[in-house]
Amino acid sequence: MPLIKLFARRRAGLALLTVLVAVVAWWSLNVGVLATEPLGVLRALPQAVARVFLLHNEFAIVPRAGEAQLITILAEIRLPRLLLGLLCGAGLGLCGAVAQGLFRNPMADPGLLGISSGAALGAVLTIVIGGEWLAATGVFGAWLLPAMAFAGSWLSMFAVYRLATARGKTDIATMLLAGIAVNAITGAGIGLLSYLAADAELRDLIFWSLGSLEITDRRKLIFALLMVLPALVILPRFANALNANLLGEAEAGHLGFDMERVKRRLIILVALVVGVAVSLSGIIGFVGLVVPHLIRLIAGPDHRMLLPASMLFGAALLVVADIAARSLVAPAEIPIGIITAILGGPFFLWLLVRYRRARAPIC
Amino acid sequence: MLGARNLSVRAGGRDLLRAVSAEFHGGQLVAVAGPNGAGKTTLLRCLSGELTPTAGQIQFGGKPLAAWRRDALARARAVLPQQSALDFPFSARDVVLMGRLPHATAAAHNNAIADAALAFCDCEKLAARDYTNLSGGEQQRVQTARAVAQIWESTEDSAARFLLLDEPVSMLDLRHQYRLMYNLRGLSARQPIGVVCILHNLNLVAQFADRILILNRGELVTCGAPYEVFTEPTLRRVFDLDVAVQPHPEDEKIPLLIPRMKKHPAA
Repeated sequence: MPLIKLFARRRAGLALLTVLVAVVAWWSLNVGVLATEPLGVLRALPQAVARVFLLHNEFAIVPRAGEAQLITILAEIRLPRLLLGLLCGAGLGLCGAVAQGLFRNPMADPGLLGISSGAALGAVLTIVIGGEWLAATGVFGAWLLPAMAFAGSWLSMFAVYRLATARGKTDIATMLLAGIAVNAITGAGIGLLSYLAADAELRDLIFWSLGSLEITDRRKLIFALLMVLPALVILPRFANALNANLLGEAEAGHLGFDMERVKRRLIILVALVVGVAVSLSGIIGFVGLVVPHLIRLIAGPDHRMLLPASMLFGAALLVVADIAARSLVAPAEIPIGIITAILGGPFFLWLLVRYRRARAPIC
Repeated sequence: MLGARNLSVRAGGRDLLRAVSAEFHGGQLVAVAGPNGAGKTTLLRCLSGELTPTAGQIQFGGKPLAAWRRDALARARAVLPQQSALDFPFSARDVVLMGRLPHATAAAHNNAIADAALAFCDCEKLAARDYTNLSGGEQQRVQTARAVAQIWESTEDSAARFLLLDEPVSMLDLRHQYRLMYNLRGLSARQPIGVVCILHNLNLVAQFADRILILNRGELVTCGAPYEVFTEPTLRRVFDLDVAVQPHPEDEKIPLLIPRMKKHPAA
């Protein structure tokens, strides 16, 4: 297939995916109650971007006639939502690929391993205990929520990794069972806390278990971008270490990588990205599992391609899922986690059947 | 020079190695032999730096192994473990190219070295194949090629390079066993590369090793040229096997080992 040949060349493949992300993002900005003209959206975009990032509603540039409403809708609703979708999709796709390389196992996924639910528990705990105080402290509060989610995701990832990995070998059964246990514990914690809490401060349980890209506070979005973007830039630099890690931990050491340090850093970075994403969007499952699988199927297991490609494709996929979530039952909205599970679950089953038949390893 | 001085390793209440001292030099192929559980792999893991000995020291290139920077060490010595965990569908060539990860050399150069290493292990035809679909012996050859590619060129970090191989021929057919050993000896003879190789086939050892190190129950039994160490009493004592040792019909410096079936303890 010519497409596959194109993907075999790293730069061409990544360029293609970048174009895909751009097209999907453009499409997403045109979906909503207010019908928009695609080129008009493009023209209004710079001012909308400026308004999102300058946190300033009366931006100095006077909009062209008739554009004021469009810019307001873009800046207040569609653009923040798109940016959150891109951020979460890129983060989850990339973190899935990193977790799979780290665990040397294609079944690893932030959702299955309990990393996401650990983050959700950290976030819910913060909201329930510090609810009013959080709201009053403004800027600090906007930092504290993702920070606590980060702590939660780090704790669960660290626990699962320590349980599943002994003497440089990861046991897939232990890994998945540890993930189930962590998911059960954090799920109970989230359930209990949301039962006890006044619903105004917690939104609702569905948000934490199925996710949503709705975002009302642009400040939170900017904080999230500031925290996650550096991690998204740094993580692909571990591609060679992850490639070597697939040979085995001792072998990676013989090839000159300090795997103890690499592992510590990867766990912190993945927990940071997943934690911050979950604190804003709730738990969105399957992206971290399906995206690296698809990329590996097309472009092979080399992390130098896999990591950036999973990031781009994850961003595109989540934005498309969000378009579906918003438009299928418009003007109502389906929780995005339902869309990703509807797409991801059967896809994963298909993968299992396919590889069972081929008697090949699952990846 | 790679040297172990009074190396002891204790784990789980057992002495895996007891005061073992040995020296390995560039330009030599040294075989490590001994029964199962003799401490061969433990010695190799200490020499590679993977395992820190309970007591004793390892010197490499004039300084303690622990004082080496990881990346410099990776350019000066390569390690082939007994088994590989790789379960992702890389091409055989990509696996060999991983041996070039410690080097900051250009991609085209690395590709040329990968090709040479593949040829060295008779894997040219496997280059484009999916590693996970290869047979056990083919995978072993590809992994060996990866280790060879890692130390293919001289490095500023060390005068001599070392190749530490844990049973590199355990899954190979007879032809590939001989071919690989022949090539390894050629490699160590041409360049200052020291090959340290755990092997169970003692006739293969006798034919290709410059020196043999025999371990038993964590202790060094003897060390020397094949015709020096492969004597009937030593073999009987270490391997608990009655062996007739005769000069090889084509080269009297090579001892030929023939286990005597009738006097085997099991009989």
